[in-house]
Amino acid sequence: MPPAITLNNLTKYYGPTLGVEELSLEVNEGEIFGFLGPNGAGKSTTISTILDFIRPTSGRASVLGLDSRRDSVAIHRQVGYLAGEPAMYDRMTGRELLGYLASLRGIDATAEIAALADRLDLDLDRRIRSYSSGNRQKVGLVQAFMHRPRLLILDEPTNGLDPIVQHEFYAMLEEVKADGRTVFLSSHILPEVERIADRAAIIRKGRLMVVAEIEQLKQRAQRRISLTFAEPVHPAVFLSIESVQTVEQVDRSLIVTFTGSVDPVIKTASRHEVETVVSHEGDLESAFLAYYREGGSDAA
Amino acid sequence: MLRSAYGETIWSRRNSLLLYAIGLGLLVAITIGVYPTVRQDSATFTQLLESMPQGMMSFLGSSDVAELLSPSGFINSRVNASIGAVVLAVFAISLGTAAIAGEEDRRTMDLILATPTPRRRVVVERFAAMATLVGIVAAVIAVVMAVANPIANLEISILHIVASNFELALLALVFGTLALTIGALTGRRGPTIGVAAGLTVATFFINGLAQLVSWLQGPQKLTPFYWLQRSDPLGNGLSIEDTLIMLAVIGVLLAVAVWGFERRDISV
Repeated sequence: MPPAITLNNLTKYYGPTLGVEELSLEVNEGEIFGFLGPNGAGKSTTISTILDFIRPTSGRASVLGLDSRRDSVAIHRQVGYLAGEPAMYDRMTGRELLGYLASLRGIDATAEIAALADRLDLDLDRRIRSYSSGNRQKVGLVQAFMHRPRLLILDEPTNGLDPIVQHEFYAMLEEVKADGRTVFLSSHILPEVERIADRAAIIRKGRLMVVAEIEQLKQRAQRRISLTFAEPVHPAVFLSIESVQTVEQVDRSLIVTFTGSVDPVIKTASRHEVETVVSHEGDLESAFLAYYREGGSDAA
Repeated sequence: MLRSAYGETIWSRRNSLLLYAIGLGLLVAITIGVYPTVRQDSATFTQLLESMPQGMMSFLGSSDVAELLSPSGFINSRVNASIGAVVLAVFAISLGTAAIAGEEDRRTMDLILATPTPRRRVVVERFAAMATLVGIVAAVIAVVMAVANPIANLEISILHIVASNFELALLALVFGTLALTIGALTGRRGPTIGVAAGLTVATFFINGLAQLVSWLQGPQKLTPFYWLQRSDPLGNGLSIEDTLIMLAVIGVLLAVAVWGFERRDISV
């Protein structure tokens, strides 16, 4: 079975401006693959190249064993795609747009569309113009899922979704995976990828930093937590924990950076009277600072 | 309607189709409505026209006074070789611009291209929709002419009415396809509408001014307005030569559009 996606030294320059450079990776069929990076890192450029909206400067991409350029139409038949900020025809209703897109695929997806809209709590009979950004995102998800594609390519899919719908969306991804189908999910939110992906790649400034199992990434990612105590606690209490890297004191608060599990930090904190706990997760740039530095020194 | 890019284009343009059809239908009805008065008082109108500068008359589709006051000449001066042609060309340009450049400008092109729709098919279906919409408006003009013809005693042959409005539609499609092609090559709405509308106005004026400015007589022969004016299909019937020239221009532009759109990066 060919990999779901293969990138081979994929490089894209927009004139002199770098999009992505020398990107090589493989996404296996049947896995949920996270594509992590801060905004502007080149995630959307990579996806646009895979889908043949734009053409690589050099290198190549293949999808389900098909060449991204030569076989783009055959690829599109088997792929469901959600754009980063999906634009739509404002004057159509949700139902009209989804019916139209199903027609372009040569399928009747009426039943599937109704079922998905029901799951995501989407009213299909309103004009797209009047939808909130969350509802537009739901329309985008329905059109990506409605033909039960072998590969889903989703660019920031949870943008604008409320937590309940997000939860439903994660369940939909699990079902796709259980079917043996593949998900390629781009995101700048670390906990989201940690939660649902099997493996992930991290991309920054157009270059691939690392491809690894989620468990490995979790171990190495730098995390940050702020603890406020009833009485001042000495930083040394936390510095003695092996996974803790730095501790910063502000009045009665300690800001602890650590890698791996949060458990030893919480257990240590619970020996004192804790007033508030704030977790600074999801900040990819700082979370992977350690990785970037190591990546840099590895290369050197 | 929403079964293909072709159907979607016509569906989304149904309101402007109605407006252009009513507008141009009215222009024709009013033109023919006033013609009996003009004919009755032709001496006054001849005087008036003879006192006009030559160049202005040529903007009316002919520089010959007797021809301008004939039924076909009069209709040409208001509709088929004049304002009507420009208005229909503007409709075609708006459709041609929306076809590719407008779609990319709204960032919706990826919705279509993410489905198994080849790029060339998007170009061809959008062109076919533009041709259909322009054709419908030209047909409405022809029907109004055909109905008013016996009422106003114009005695223009039905065949000539059909031929003239067929050529009118082709003229508009030359400019509409030009817009579609510039959009397919650039993906940018501003330059597309600017160049296509600019060329329409420029060729209209080159054709008109060529009566006055001798060095424009060379370029004049390249303007589609000249082709339509020279052969006067309303008076003389279909010009095979001009029809073939316009079809060839449209065909070449469309081929360039497909070629250009297939090879470039799309804005998404």
